Amino acid sequence: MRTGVSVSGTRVIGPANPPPVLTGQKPGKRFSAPRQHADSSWPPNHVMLARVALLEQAPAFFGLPERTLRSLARRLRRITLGSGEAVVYQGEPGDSIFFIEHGRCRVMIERPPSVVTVAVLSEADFFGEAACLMNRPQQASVFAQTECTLYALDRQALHAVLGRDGELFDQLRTLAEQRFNLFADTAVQATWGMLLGEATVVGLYSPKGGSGGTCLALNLVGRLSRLYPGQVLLLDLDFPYSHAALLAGLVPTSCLARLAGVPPDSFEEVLLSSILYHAGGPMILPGALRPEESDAVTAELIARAIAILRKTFRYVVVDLGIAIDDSTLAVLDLTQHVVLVAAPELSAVKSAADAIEILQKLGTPDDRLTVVLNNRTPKPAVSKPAVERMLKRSVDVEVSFDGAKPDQAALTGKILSLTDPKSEITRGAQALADILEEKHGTGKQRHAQAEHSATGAGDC
Amino acid sequence: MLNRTMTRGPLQPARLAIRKSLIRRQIHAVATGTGQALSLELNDREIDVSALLAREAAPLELDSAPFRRLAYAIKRTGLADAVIDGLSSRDPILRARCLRVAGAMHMEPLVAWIAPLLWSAEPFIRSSAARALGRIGGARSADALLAAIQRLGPRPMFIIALARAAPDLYLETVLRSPQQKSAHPAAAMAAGIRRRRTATFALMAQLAGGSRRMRVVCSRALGWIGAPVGAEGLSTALTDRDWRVRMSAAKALGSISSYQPGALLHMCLMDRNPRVQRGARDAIRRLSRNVTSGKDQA
Repeated sequence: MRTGVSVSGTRVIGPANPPPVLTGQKPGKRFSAPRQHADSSWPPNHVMLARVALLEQAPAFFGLPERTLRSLARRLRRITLGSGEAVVYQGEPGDSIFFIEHGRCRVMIERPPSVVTVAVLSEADFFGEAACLMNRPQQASVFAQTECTLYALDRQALHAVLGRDGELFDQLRTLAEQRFNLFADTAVQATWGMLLGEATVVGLYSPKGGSGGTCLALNLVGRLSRLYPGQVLLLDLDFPYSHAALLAGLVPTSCLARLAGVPPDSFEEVLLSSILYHAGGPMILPGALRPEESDAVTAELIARAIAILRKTFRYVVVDLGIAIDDSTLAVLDLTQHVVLVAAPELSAVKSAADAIEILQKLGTPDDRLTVVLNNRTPKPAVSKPAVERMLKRSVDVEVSFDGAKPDQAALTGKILSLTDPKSEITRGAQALADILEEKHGTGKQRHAQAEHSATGAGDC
Repeated sequence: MLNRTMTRGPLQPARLAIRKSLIRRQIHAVATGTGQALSLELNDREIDVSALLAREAAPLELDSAPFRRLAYAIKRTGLADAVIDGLSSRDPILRARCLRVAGAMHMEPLVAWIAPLLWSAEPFIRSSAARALGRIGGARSADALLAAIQRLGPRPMFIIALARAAPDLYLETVLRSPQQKSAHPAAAMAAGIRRRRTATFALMAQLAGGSRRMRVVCSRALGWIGAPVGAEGLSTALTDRDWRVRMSAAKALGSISSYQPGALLHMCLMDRNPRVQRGARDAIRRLSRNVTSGKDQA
């Protein structure tokens, strides 16, 4: 008997398409027909809308077409948990991805003799993807910190709906790998104890779009993280489109904007758990994942975040984008060093000259301001001496034209300063890193320690 | 001449073995990507193709390349359609084979077709359907199995399949929510079989306030899970009015290696029911053996 199901066998059974009557089964007295079918429970429309909205907020899922999102939403299971209840245990197998609709969950890694909280996840976050997709045991235990409402999506449902859509699976796997590294690193750092001293906050400002500010910020962070792996953070405040994570090949899961509503007692944990970890060492905190979220990033939120980040990292590089607004001014107030990126074009140089004037009025000392000339074309329209004349100061670092390398690196999600030491961008980032190290002294300690240990070794 | 000799008589088993080997190699070639041709006939009276397919697919991961190649070949050659057709066939053997293929190939969209077969008149179709759902897994399969358990009672095959199929936090949710009377014991047993630590608190709640049957099942499940947190609830269950609860609690405590036998367990050695006494004695012996082996290792 033909049932009208396509060859792919993925047509969904529902009210419009009931399952076939079994011709081979005699209706007996003992076994009557099922009263409720496994597929007959369709969630009401308002529930579906809420579920779709939740999935849309989740990273990696928001790009899915509406139809797929609805199919996934239909298969979500709602789970309510009380405070302190376990969702998953470290080391156990798992087959579901959990989306947090309401409440907060604490992610803990047991490293005997201590237990380390590596993240606090809140609304629209999800977890369990590594165990679900990569068949790994759970890396961490997850407990409900408050009363929680979760939605679970099991592996079978994911495969049934997405079929052979490898793109989402790849994204989720990348995300899982990213989180795995981040949690492992955080656990190790926590075990070692907090880092001593406060970070140097570096603001990287390019007054004209397309000057390569984000690219340079990313490569600067890459270069610095070679010196201090896991201790250099890029805070991406280049609004409205924060793309630093994307350029580094990372899938952002949360951002600073989403922390606006987090209570003060858990702000630090949530903030640190929103940071993305790149395998090469740098860490990235996106400012906003969507253009409309950028409004939530206020000067006060930035100040709160930087106060915490300064205690955790050695360098916090803030990509300030092009606008000078309240949040930019708030960052400039908190920075120890400002890097101004200009392209050798007439309008860009004019804007850079204006920006230098503003910075001087704000009280930025000359020795804490570094000007970078980023040549984005093989033959620049304005020569370096002309730029210096217009800026009324010397250019500290000049980045030569690097061909198609920056664009190719962006496409492949690589950071040139970590992968290509011969690149012009790498050289520029290295020169900039050297200036920062020289002026802010963190390198001196390192060299001193190295020399001390070398002397000690020689004595031995 | 040779063919005629092989179709009948003493060479018949050899002929079957050769055909089986050919089919197995064909399936293997498709899975490894060295071949593309796959001609499987589910109606074959001599060879159970579904068993060969199931054996080949069993070690493969759901999202591995060999599994995907095999699944694609099955769809491409029309075997997937044949499976759907076969599920509603009059022939019970064909139905059972189709169920096996559906389970082996994790054909999740077919859950809606398989679920009604859980209350088929033929017992082996029921167990095949349960096995298929257990292998497919996921919330929809677990829902179907739970519905069958609620209607037909907690049959062992259904419970085992439920334990296999239930995704994370599914059994825990069932244990916490109001259900028909047979659902809770089945979920508790399934949680125990799966050693679900996350179900410990739900089981302890049921142990404290459930029916007699539920208390017995929860004690056993907590013993299987072996979580040290469960020891507290099990110790309290040693003073239960019903001897079955006391016995299963004593046995379960023997499975919790970190448990130090307390006064309550020792009191069970003097219980008026000899089976409780035996259970307590076995538990204490087991726990002391654990301690001794731990010392030896140290």
